[in-house]
Amino acid sequence: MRNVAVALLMSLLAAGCATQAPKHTATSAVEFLYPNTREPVDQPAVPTLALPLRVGIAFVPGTASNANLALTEKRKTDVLDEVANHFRKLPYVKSIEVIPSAYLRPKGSFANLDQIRTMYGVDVVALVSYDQTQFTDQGLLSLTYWTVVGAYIVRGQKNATHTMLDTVVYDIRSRKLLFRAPGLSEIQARSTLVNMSEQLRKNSEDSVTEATADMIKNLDTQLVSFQAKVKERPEEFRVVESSGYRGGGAIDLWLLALLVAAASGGLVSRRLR
Amino acid sequence: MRERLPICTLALCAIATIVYALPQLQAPLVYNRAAVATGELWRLASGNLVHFSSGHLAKDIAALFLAGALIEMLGYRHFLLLCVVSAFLIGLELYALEPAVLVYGGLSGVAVAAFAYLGLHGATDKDAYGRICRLALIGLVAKIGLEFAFAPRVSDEFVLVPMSHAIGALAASVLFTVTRLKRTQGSASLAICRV
Repeated sequence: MRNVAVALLMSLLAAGCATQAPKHTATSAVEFLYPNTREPVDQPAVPTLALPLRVGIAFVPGTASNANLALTEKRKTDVLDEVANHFRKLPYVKSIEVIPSAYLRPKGSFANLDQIRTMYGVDVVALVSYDQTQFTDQGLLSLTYWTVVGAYIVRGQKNATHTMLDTVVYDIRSRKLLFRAPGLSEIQARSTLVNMSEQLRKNSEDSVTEATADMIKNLDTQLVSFQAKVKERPEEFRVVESSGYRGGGAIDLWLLALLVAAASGGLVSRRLR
Repeated sequence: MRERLPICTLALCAIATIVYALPQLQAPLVYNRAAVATGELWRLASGNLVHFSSGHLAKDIAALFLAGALIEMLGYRHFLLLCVVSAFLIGLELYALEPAVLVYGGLSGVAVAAFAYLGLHGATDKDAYGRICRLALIGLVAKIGLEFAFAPRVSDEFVLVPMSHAIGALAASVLFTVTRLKRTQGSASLAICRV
């Protein structure tokens, strides 16, 4: 009898502290750009950045095995729009095209990006990849699941969602990585057993939102350092400005001389009066 | 000459210098066609406060200081209104008529407006000062015409937008005419009342 009681207690404790296998979904820019490791990697050339830039932005397509994340096409478009809207106002960006996932093939490499360049007329592409892992553990409160009602009302599931979004910006023609910026997020939340899948989905969404905000912040920082790098190392990055895109109101020396002459002549004549 | 401190001119020059010294202020202020299209209308005027190089800033400020200080010290009214109106009109002109210009900065349009306003006020004098002002105005019109004809390259950082100078001069002429008309009407009414 005593052995039965001990076994029951052990099984209850085991049930109370169970851990489910983590759910992991990811896409990889490296896998997309360099899918065949046997082929030699192209040496990047010196990029020529024609200002103002025409930029494309897209999510890296996943292979069937690693991209079953609940990031719907609409959600992806929302994330890309958010990033695009933030950078659309940069003075050296002429346009940002949001490229739907359907236009990129898994392991499409630079050949696929060349097609995008032709189709959308973009010079530079920002590829966003993601990596999300969701862990679910059961705490002591999950003991109440044995009452059945507990599974509905007690938040015994401990969920953790870790997300990383990563943007790599490439000059398509030269195959050169210009800069990259990651965005991280970690969300912890409890849920009932019955409500777990809904809570995980919500955490996934929230985590992507947080990671997007973090990535935009990091992109800002990386852009500033990239601008400095372009100025410091002109041998690595060639910048060509399209004529007329930046206009200025400027007084030249002739106009200034005319003004000085008129003002001083006027002042002298008024004093003599 | 009545001695007055040219407060507006000094303030404008100081703001332009601060904006140039703090690059983080330039991004939200510069005229940016895409940003204006999304509703950031202040950029139409504030773009005039942004400069792309120290030489650009120095020449624009020198011209504005000279013309603005004289306007204020001579007691010609509505200088601040002139600056605001000309700045907005330049921005509107860029947006409406210069779609190729995606980014714009520079106070020269406002400086030209001040120059024209000063000249128009002085040109009404009948003595030597009036003659100098009339000559200066002719010189200004000729200079703007040459800018349209030859589009001189004044900097490696940007291309000159001659229309901004023309709009500045136009804004000054309109404001001068309106204020003159009001004053004439006011004098006429006063004379009628006295009669």
